[in-house]
Amino acid sequence: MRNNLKLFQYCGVSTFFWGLIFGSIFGDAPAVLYNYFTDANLTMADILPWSTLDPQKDALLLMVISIAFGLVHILVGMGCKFYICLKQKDYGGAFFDTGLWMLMLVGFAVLAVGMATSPMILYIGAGIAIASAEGLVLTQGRNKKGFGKVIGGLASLYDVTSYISDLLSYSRLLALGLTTGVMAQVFNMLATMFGKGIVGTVFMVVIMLVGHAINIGLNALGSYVHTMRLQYVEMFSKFYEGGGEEFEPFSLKSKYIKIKEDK
Amino acid sequence: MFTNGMFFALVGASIATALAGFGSAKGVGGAAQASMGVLSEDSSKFGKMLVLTLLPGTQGLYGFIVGFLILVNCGVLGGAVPSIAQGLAFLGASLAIGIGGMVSGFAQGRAAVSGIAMSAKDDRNFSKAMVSVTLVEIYALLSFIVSLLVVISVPALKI
Repeated sequence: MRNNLKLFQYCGVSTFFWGLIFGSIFGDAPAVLYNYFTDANLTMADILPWSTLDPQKDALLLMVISIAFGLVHILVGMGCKFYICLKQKDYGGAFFDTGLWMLMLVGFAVLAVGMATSPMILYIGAGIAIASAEGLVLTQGRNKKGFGKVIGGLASLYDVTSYISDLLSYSRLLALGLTTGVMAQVFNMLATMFGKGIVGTVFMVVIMLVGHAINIGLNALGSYVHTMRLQYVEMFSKFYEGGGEEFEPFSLKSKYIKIKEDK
Repeated sequence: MFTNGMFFALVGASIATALAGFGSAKGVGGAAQASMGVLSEDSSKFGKMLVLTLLPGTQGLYGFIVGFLILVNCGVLGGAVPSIAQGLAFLGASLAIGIGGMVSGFAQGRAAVSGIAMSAKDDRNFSKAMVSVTLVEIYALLSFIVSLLVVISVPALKI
């Protein structure tokens, strides 16, 4: 339990930082409370002096950012595999299996950047991707015999679908980020619905406390489970080999005698 | 007969809240039954059983939020009365969290029951049970996001 709470503490620091970027401090609580007490009509973008990225308006941009994070994460995983292959003196595996795929992913990334900016970068990206694809076709069949070499090379290009599905899996970061902000905003809306008298203010305080506590509780669990899934399934599958049994030291199992310790 | 889309929008709000609540109720109910069986043998495990029992409850909350946002945007709690096409759009949007939340609530409930059984047998497996049950929730989350993005942008559409 103590380790769990430490983990939530570190996740909370990151949440605070991203909340400042998305312009969301307990949803739009500062703006809502200010409007409640002074009948103004502010939004969070007016209050914070830096320009924020609103997930609800720029959902597509946020998805691109999530997938960019995913690309970096997967490249780190493949970098680990590269290092492992070098240590095992499997130079073919390092440069041909892992290195060419890393080059192709970088080529796709440059291509995507080029689609948004200038055609020159797009051609460079396409060139890198096509060159690495040719390299893969030439080298992936090197362990097979006869005609199998050609087939092996061409069939290995099919692995691009698994890389694309791994990259798209990172869009769950967009989903998680969007939900917490929206839930907080809805709780704020609910809290200020009761008017401004004594009863209304009491209700507002109670609903804000209970609602945001529910929000924090629900998303504390989700904050590490989904990112852990991304780590274990998407990144570790690039290089990690698990297995083994948990070490259980010999212990005393007494069936008829109960041994009490004097503390 | 219909001069505006109010009826369709309210049917949408009801579908979102009711179906997602149905799924969560069945899920949490099944998990609560299993946990009470465990607690009848060993009532010191209540805290951990409570956490596992409450995990399938998020779908109902998501359905409520979509229903509430529809009400805020269709004139009941503020906003403008929707046109017929906008009301039908609200109805369509609510199906995502309604059906997705309902079925994923059932599935998460069954997972929570198995998690309770596993954690009752050996207490060290509690965090594994918690993680495995939370994995199902991502699909309810994705349905919620789709419903949400449509409900937020329908009032601004000129249909």
